[in-house]
Amino acid sequence: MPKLDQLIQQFRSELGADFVSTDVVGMDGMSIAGGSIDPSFDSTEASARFAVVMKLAAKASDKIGMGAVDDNLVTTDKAYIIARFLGNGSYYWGVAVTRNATLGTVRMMMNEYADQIWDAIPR
Amino acid sequence: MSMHGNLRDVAIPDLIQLSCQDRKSACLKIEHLGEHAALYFRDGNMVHAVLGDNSGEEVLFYILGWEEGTFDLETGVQSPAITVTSSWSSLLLEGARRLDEERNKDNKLQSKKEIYTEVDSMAPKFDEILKEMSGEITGCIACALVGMDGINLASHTRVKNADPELMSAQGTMLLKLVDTAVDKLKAGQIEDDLVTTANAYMLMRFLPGKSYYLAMVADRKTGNLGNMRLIGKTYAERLAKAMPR
Repeated sequence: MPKLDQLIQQFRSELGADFVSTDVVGMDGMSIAGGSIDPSFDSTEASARFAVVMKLAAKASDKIGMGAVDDNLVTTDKAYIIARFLGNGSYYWGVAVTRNATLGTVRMMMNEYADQIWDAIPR
Repeated sequence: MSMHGNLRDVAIPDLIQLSCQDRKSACLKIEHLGEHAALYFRDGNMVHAVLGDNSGEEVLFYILGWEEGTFDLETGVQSPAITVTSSWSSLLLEGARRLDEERNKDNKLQSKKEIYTEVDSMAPKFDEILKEMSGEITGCIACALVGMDGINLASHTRVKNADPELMSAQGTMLLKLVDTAVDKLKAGQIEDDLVTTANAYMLMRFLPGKSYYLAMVADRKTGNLGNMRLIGKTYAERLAKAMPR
Protein backbone atom coordinates (compact mmCIF):
# COMPACT_ATOMS: atom_id res chain seq x y z
CA MET A 1 0.00 0.00 0.00
CA PRO A 2 2.52 2.58 -1.17
CA LYS A 3 0.04 5.48 -1.25
CA LEU A 4 -1.10 4.83 2.32
CA ASP A 5 2.47 4.45 3.59
CA GLN A 6 3.42 7.68 1.82
CA LEU A 7 0.58 9.59 3.48
CA ILE A 8 1.52 8.22 6.89
CA GLN A 9 5.13 9.25 6.33
CA GLN A 10 4.05 12.74 5.25
CA PHE A 11 1.90 13.09 8.33
CA ARG A 12 4.73 11.95 10.60
CA SER A 13 7.09 14.48 9.03
CA GLU A 14 4.64 17.32 9.55
CA LEU A 15 4.18 16.40 13.19
CA GLY A 16 7.92 16.46 13.76
CA ALA A 17 9.41 15.89 17.19
CA ASP A 18 6.02 15.49 18.90
CA PHE A 19 5.23 12.30 17.01
CA VAL A 20 5.18 9.05 19.00
CA SER A 21 3.11 6.56 17.04
CA THR A 22 0.44 6.17 14.40
CA ASP A 23 -1.57 3.24 13.01
CA VAL A 24 -4.43 2.71 10.59
CA VAL A 25 -6.43 -0.14 12.10
CA GLY A 26 -9.30 -2.31 11.00
CA MET A 27 -12.13 -2.79 13.48
CA ASP A 28 -10.83 -6.34 13.91
CA GLY A 29 -7.94 -4.69 15.76
CA MET A 30 -5.31 -5.40 13.08
CA SER A 31 -3.09 -2.54 11.93
CA ILE A 32 -2.64 -2.16 8.17
CA ALA A 33 -0.11 0.70 8.19
CA GLY A 34 1.85 2.87 10.57
CA GLY A 35 4.67 2.74 13.05
CA SER A 36 6.21 4.12 16.21
CA ILE A 37 9.44 5.88 17.11
CA ASP A 38 9.37 4.32 20.57
CA PRO A 39 10.64 0.71 20.50
CA SER A 40 9.02 0.01 23.87
CA PHE A 41 5.57 1.04 22.59
CA ASP A 42 3.67 -2.05 21.43
CA SER A 43 1.61 -0.70 18.53
CA THR A 44 0.06 -4.13 17.88
CA GLU A 45 -1.41 -4.22 21.36
CA ALA A 46 -2.40 -0.54 21.15
CA SER A 47 -4.23 -1.13 17.86
CA ALA A 48 -6.20 -4.04 19.30
CA ARG A 49 -7.06 -2.32 22.58
CA PHE A 50 -8.20 0.89 20.98
CA ALA A 51 -10.34 -0.98 18.46
CA VAL A 52 -12.32 -2.26 21.47
CA VAL A 53 -12.39 1.28 22.91
CA MET A 54 -13.78 2.70 19.67
CA LYS A 55 -16.43 -0.01 19.45
CA LEU A 56 -17.57 0.68 23.01
CA ALA A 57 -17.51 4.45 22.41
CA ALA A 58 -19.74 3.99 19.36
CA LYS A 59 -22.14 1.75 21.27
CA ALA A 60 -22.26 4.11 24.28
CA SER A 61 -22.87 7.15 22.10
CA ASP A 62 -25.63 5.36 20.26
CA LYS A 63 -27.35 4.36 23.52
CA ILE A 64 -27.36 7.90 24.89
CA GLY A 65 -28.42 9.41 21.58
CA MET A 66 -25.27 11.44 20.92
CA GLY A 67 -24.91 10.34 17.31
CA ALA A 68 -22.01 8.73 15.48
CA VAL A 69 -18.58 8.97 17.09
CA ASP A 70 -15.96 11.05 15.28
CA ASP A 71 -13.02 10.53 17.59
CA ASN A 72 -11.83 9.64 21.07
CA LEU A 73 -9.04 11.65 22.70
CA VAL A 74 -7.22 10.36 25.76
CA THR A 75 -5.00 12.71 27.75
CA THR A 76 -2.36 11.17 29.99
CA ASP A 77 0.53 12.79 31.83
CA LYS A 78 2.86 11.56 29.05
CA ALA A 79 0.85 11.77 25.82
CA TYR A 80 -2.25 12.57 23.86
CA ILE A 81 -3.78 9.54 22.12
CA ILE A 82 -6.34 10.29 19.42
CA ALA A 83 -8.37 7.60 17.69
CA ARG A 84 -10.54 8.73 14.82
CA PHE A 85 -13.00 6.72 12.72
CA LEU A 86 -12.30 6.72 8.98
CA GLY A 87 -14.88 6.66 6.19
CA ASN A 88 -17.73 4.25 6.96
CA GLY A 89 -16.28 3.34 10.35
CA SER A 90 -14.69 0.07 9.26
CA TYR A 91 -11.27 1.50 10.12
CA TYR A 92 -9.91 3.92 12.64
CA TRP A 93 -6.75 5.98 12.64
CA GLY A 94 -4.79 6.21 15.89
CA VAL A 95 -2.17 8.84 16.64
CA ALA A 96 -0.08 9.30 19.78
CA VAL A 97 1.86 12.52 20.36
CA THR A 98 3.80 13.91 23.30
CA ARG A 99 2.19 16.32 25.75
CA ASN A 100 4.31 19.06 24.18
CA ALA A 101 2.23 18.86 21.01
CA THR A 102 -0.32 21.55 20.21
CA LEU A 103 -3.49 19.52 20.36
CA GLY A 104 -5.52 21.80 18.13
CA THR A 105 -2.90 21.53 15.39
CA VAL A 106 -2.77 17.74 15.62
CA ARG A 107 -6.56 17.46 15.37
CA MET A 108 -6.62 19.89 12.47
CA MET A 109 -3.95 17.89 10.64
CA MET A 110 -5.85 14.68 11.23
CA ASN A 111 -8.94 16.31 9.74
CA GLU A 112 -6.94 17.22 6.65
CA TYR A 113 -5.41 13.77 6.18
CA ALA A 114 -8.37 11.60 7.17
CA ASP A 115 -10.17 11.55 3.81
CA GLN A 116 -6.95 10.93 1.89
CA ILE A 117 -6.03 8.05 4.19
CA TRP A 118 -9.50 6.53 3.80
CA ASP A 119 -9.23 6.78 -0.01
CA ALA A 120 -5.81 5.11 0.08
CA ILE A 121 -7.05 2.03 1.96
CA PRO A 122 -7.44 -0.82 -0.54
CA ARG A 123 -11.05 -2.06 -0.74
CA MET B 1 -25.87 -11.20 19.27
CA SER B 2 -23.07 -12.36 21.51
CA MET B 3 -20.02 -10.89 23.16
CA HIS B 4 -17.22 -12.75 24.88
CA GLY B 5 -14.06 -11.76 26.61
CA ASN B 6 -11.90 -11.79 29.72
CA LEU B 7 -12.78 -10.51 33.18
CA ARG B 8 -9.41 -8.77 33.28
CA ASP B 9 -10.69 -6.40 30.61
CA VAL B 10 -14.33 -6.00 31.66
CA ALA B 11 -15.44 -6.50 35.26
CA ILE B 12 -18.62 -8.36 36.27
CA PRO B 13 -20.41 -5.23 37.63
CA ASP B 14 -19.81 -3.53 34.27
CA LEU B 15 -21.23 -6.51 32.40
CA ILE B 16 -24.30 -6.44 34.63
CA GLN B 17 -24.81 -2.71 34.01
CA LEU B 18 -24.38 -3.20 30.26
CA SER B 19 -26.93 -6.00 30.20
CA CYS B 20 -29.46 -4.10 32.30
CA GLN B 21 -29.09 -0.86 30.34
CA ASP B 22 -29.65 -2.83 27.12
CA ARG B 23 -33.09 -3.86 28.42
CA LYS B 24 -33.01 -7.06 26.33
CA SER B 25 -33.36 -10.66 27.46
CA ALA B 26 -29.88 -12.02 27.84
CA CYS B 27 -27.74 -14.65 29.51
CA LEU B 28 -24.27 -13.88 30.91
CA LYS B 29 -22.17 -17.02 31.44
CA ILE B 30 -19.03 -16.62 33.52
CA GLU B 31 -16.25 -19.14 34.10
CA HIS B 32 -13.74 -18.81 36.93
CA LEU B 33 -11.26 -21.53 37.95
CA GLY B 34 -13.58 -24.28 36.79
CA GLU B 35 -16.74 -22.78 38.31
CA HIS B 36 -19.54 -21.81 35.91
CA ALA B 37 -22.16 -19.19 36.78
CA ALA B 38 -25.01 -17.85 34.69
CA LEU B 39 -26.91 -14.57 35.14
CA TYR B 40 -30.15 -13.90 33.29
CA PHE B 41 -31.58 -10.50 32.40
CA ARG B 42 -34.97 -9.25 31.29
CA ASP B 43 -36.50 -5.78 30.83
CA GLY B 44 -33.61 -3.89 32.40
CA ASN B 45 -33.02 -6.08 35.44
CA MET B 46 -31.34 -9.24 36.58
CA VAL B 47 -33.94 -11.98 37.19
CA HIS B 48 -31.99 -15.18 37.83
CA ALA B 49 -28.52 -16.17 38.97
CA VAL B 50 -27.33 -19.77 39.14
CA LEU B 51 -24.09 -21.52 40.10
CA GLY B 52 -24.19 -25.30 40.35
CA ASP B 53 -27.05 -26.22 42.69
CA ASN B 54 -27.29 -22.67 44.09
CA SER B 55 -29.38 -19.83 42.74
CA GLY B 56 -30.54 -16.35 43.70
CA GLU B 57 -28.90 -13.16 44.98
CA GLU B 58 -26.27 -14.98 47.06
CA VAL B 59 -24.81 -16.40 43.82
CA LEU B 60 -24.31 -12.87 42.54
CA PHE B 61 -22.61 -11.77 45.77
CA TYR B 62 -20.33 -14.81 45.56
CA ILE B 63 -19.17 -14.18 41.99
CA LEU B 64 -18.73 -10.40 42.25
CA GLY B 65 -15.26 -10.97 43.65
CA TRP B 66 -14.13 -12.92 40.56
CA GLU B 67 -11.44 -10.91 38.78
CA GLU B 68 -10.05 -13.70 36.59
CA GLY B 69 -11.98 -15.76 34.11
CA THR B 70 -13.97 -15.49 30.91
CA PHE B 71 -17.47 -14.39 30.05
CA ASP B 72 -19.95 -15.00 27.28
CA LEU B 73 -22.93 -12.67 26.90
CA GLU B 74 -25.74 -13.74 24.61
CA THR B 75 -28.91 -11.73 23.95
CA GLY B 76 -32.31 -13.19 23.16
CA VAL B 77 -32.04 -15.91 25.80
CA GLN B 78 -35.03 -16.30 28.13
CA SER B 79 -34.51 -16.98 31.81
CA PRO B 80 -35.64 -20.42 33.00
CA ALA B 81 -36.53 -19.07 36.45
CA ILE B 82 -37.00 -15.96 38.59
CA THR B 83 -34.70 -16.04 41.63
CA VAL B 84 -33.61 -12.39 41.83
CA THR B 85 -36.07 -9.59 42.52
CA SER B 86 -33.96 -6.67 43.84
CA SER B 87 -32.88 -3.90 41.48
CA TRP B 88 -29.49 -4.33 39.83
CA SER B 89 -28.09 -1.11 41.29
CA SER B 90 -29.00 -2.08 44.86
CA LEU B 91 -27.52 -5.54 44.30
CA LEU B 92 -24.23 -4.08 43.08
CA LEU B 93 -24.11 -1.70 46.03
CA GLU B 94 -24.74 -4.53 48.49
CA GLY B 95 -22.21 -6.70 46.66
CA ALA B 96 -19.56 -3.98 46.84
CA ARG B 97 -20.25 -3.54 50.55
CA ARG B 98 -19.85 -7.24 51.24
CA LEU B 99 -16.63 -7.45 49.25
CA ASP B 100 -15.18 -4.58 51.20
CA GLU B 101 -16.18 -6.10 54.52
CA GLU B 102 -14.57 -9.36 53.55
CA ARG B 103 -11.36 -7.69 52.42
CA ASN B 104 -11.11 -5.35 55.40
CA LYS B 105 -12.14 -7.65 58.28
CA ASP B 106 -9.20 -6.61 60.49
CA ASN B 107 -8.93 -3.16 58.97
CA LYS B 108 -9.99 -0.14 61.01
CA LEU B 109 -10.93 1.94 57.96
CA GLN B 110 -14.64 2.73 57.20
CA SER B 111 -16.64 0.20 55.14
CA LYS B 112 -17.75 1.28 51.66
CA LYS B 113 -21.36 1.51 52.88
CA GLU B 114 -20.35 4.04 55.52
CA ILE B 115 -18.41 5.98 52.89
CA TYR B 116 -21.43 6.00 50.57
CA THR B 117 -23.61 7.21 53.47
CA GLU B 118 -21.18 10.01 54.20
CA VAL B 119 -20.89 10.92 50.53
CA ASP B 120 -24.68 10.80 50.07
CA SER B 121 -25.01 13.50 52.71
CA MET B 122 -22.66 15.67 50.64
CA ALA B 123 -24.98 15.35 47.58
CA PRO B 124 -26.67 18.77 47.92
CA LYS B 125 -23.24 20.46 47.99
CA PHE B 126 -22.12 18.56 44.89
CA ASP B 127 -25.39 19.51 43.16
CA GLU B 128 -24.67 23.21 43.78
CA ILE B 129 -21.15 22.91 42.40
CA LEU B 130 -22.37 21.06 39.31
CA LYS B 131 -25.12 23.59 38.71
CA GLU B 132 -22.59 26.40 38.88
CA MET B 133 -20.22 24.51 36.57
CA SER B 134 -22.92 23.80 34.00
CA GLY B 135 -23.53 27.55 33.74
CA GLU B 136 -19.89 28.07 32.80
CA ILE B 137 -19.66 25.34 30.14
CA THR B 138 -20.74 26.70 26.79
CA GLY B 139 -23.51 24.56 25.34
CA CYS B 140 -23.72 22.33 28.43
CA ILE B 141 -26.24 19.48 28.17
CA ALA B 142 -25.47 17.67 31.42
CA CYS B 143 -22.80 17.08 33.99
CA ALA B 144 -22.39 14.53 36.74
CA LEU B 145 -20.11 13.37 39.52
CA VAL B 146 -19.86 9.62 39.09
CA GLY B 147 -18.39 6.76 41.09
CA MET B 148 -16.40 4.11 39.26
CA ASP B 149 -19.32 1.77 39.89
CA GLY B 150 -21.20 3.90 37.36
CA ILE B 151 -23.63 5.39 39.86
CA ASN B 152 -24.12 9.17 40.10
CA LEU B 153 -23.35 10.96 43.32
CA ALA B 154 -24.87 14.11 41.83
CA SER B 155 -25.90 15.42 38.43
CA HIS B 156 -27.29 18.46 36.72
CA THR B 157 -29.00 18.64 33.34
CA ARG B 158 -29.84 21.68 31.27
CA VAL B 159 -31.74 19.79 28.61
CA LYS B 160 -35.09 18.11 29.31
CA ASN B 161 -34.58 14.68 27.77
CA ALA B 162 -31.01 14.11 28.98
CA ASP B 163 -30.64 10.94 31.05
CA PRO B 164 -27.66 11.45 33.38
CA GLU B 165 -27.88 7.95 34.88
CA LEU B 166 -27.65 6.32 31.47
CA MET B 167 -24.83 8.65 30.45
CA SER B 168 -22.92 7.86 33.64
CA ALA B 169 -23.33 4.10 33.30
CA GLN B 170 -22.14 4.11 29.69
CA GLY B 171 -19.37 6.61 30.39
CA THR B 172 -18.02 4.56 33.28
CA MET B 173 -17.66 1.43 31.16
CA LEU B 174 -15.81 3.39 28.51
CA LEU B 175 -13.56 5.20 30.98
CA LYS B 176 -12.63 1.92 32.70
CA LEU B 177 -11.74 0.35 29.37
CA VAL B 178 -9.64 3.34 28.34
CA ASP B 179 -7.91 3.39 31.73
CA THR B 180 -7.05 -0.31 31.40
CA ALA B 181 -5.74 0.20 27.87
CA VAL B 182 -3.55 3.14 28.87
CA ASP B 183 -2.25 1.26 31.87
CA LYS B 184 -1.39 -1.89 29.88
CA LEU B 185 0.34 0.20 27.20
CA LYS B 186 2.32 2.07 29.88
CA ALA B 187 1.23 5.33 28.28
CA GLY B 188 1.19 7.24 31.56
CA GLN B 189 -1.51 8.21 34.06
CA ILE B 190 -4.81 9.00 32.41
CA GLU B 191 -6.22 12.46 33.13
CA ASP B 192 -9.28 12.57 30.93
CA ASP B 193 -11.10 11.03 27.99
CA LEU B 194 -12.99 13.07 25.42
CA VAL B 195 -15.41 11.57 22.92
CA THR B 196 -16.47 13.75 19.99
CA THR B 197 -19.68 12.68 18.30
CA ALA B 198 -21.94 14.10 15.62
CA ASN B 199 -24.10 15.80 18.26
CA ALA B 200 -21.94 16.31 21.33
CA TYR B 201 -18.68 16.46 23.19
CA MET B 202 -18.47 14.09 26.17
CA LEU B 203 -15.58 14.70 28.54
CA MET B 204 -14.77 12.49 31.51
CA ARG B 205 -12.09 13.65 33.93
CA PHE B 206 -10.82 11.62 36.90
CA LEU B 207 -10.75 13.14 40.35
CA PRO B 208 -7.54 12.40 42.30
CA GLY B 209 -7.53 8.80 43.48
CA LYS B 210 -9.57 7.70 40.45
CA SER B 211 -12.52 6.48 42.52
CA TYR B 212 -14.73 9.19 40.99
CA TYR B 213 -14.85 11.18 37.81
CA LEU B 214 -16.50 14.30 36.50
CA ALA B 215 -18.59 13.83 33.35
CA MET B 216 -19.58 16.74 31.12
CA VAL B 217 -21.64 16.66 27.94
CA ALA B 218 -21.91 19.71 25.69
CA ASP B 219 -23.67 20.35 22.41
CA ARG B 220 -21.35 19.90 19.43
CA LYS B 221 -22.55 23.02 17.63
CA THR B 222 -22.56 25.46 20.54
CA GLY B 223 -19.95 23.86 22.81
CA ASN B 224 -16.31 24.89 23.02
CA LEU B 225 -13.71 22.20 23.69
CA GLY B 226 -11.10 24.46 25.21
CA ASN B 227 -13.67 26.00 27.54
CA MET B 228 -14.94 22.54 28.51
CA ARG B 229 -11.49 21.18 29.35
CA LEU B 230 -10.51 24.23 31.36
CA ILE B 231 -13.77 24.38 33.33
CA GLY B 232 -13.62 20.63 33.84
CA LYS B 233 -10.12 20.82 35.28
CA THR B 234 -11.04 23.69 37.61
CA TYR B 235 -14.19 22.07 38.94
CA ALA B 236 -12.66 18.62 39.27
CA GLU B 237 -10.19 20.13 41.73
CA ARG B 238 -13.03 21.84 43.56
CA LEU B 239 -15.12 18.69 43.78
CA ALA B 240 -12.12 16.74 45.00
CA LYS B 241 -11.71 19.22 47.85
CA ALA B 242 -15.41 18.85 48.72
CA MET B 243 -15.07 15.06 49.05
CA PRO B 244 -15.20 13.60 52.56
CA ARG B 245 -11.86 12.34 53.92
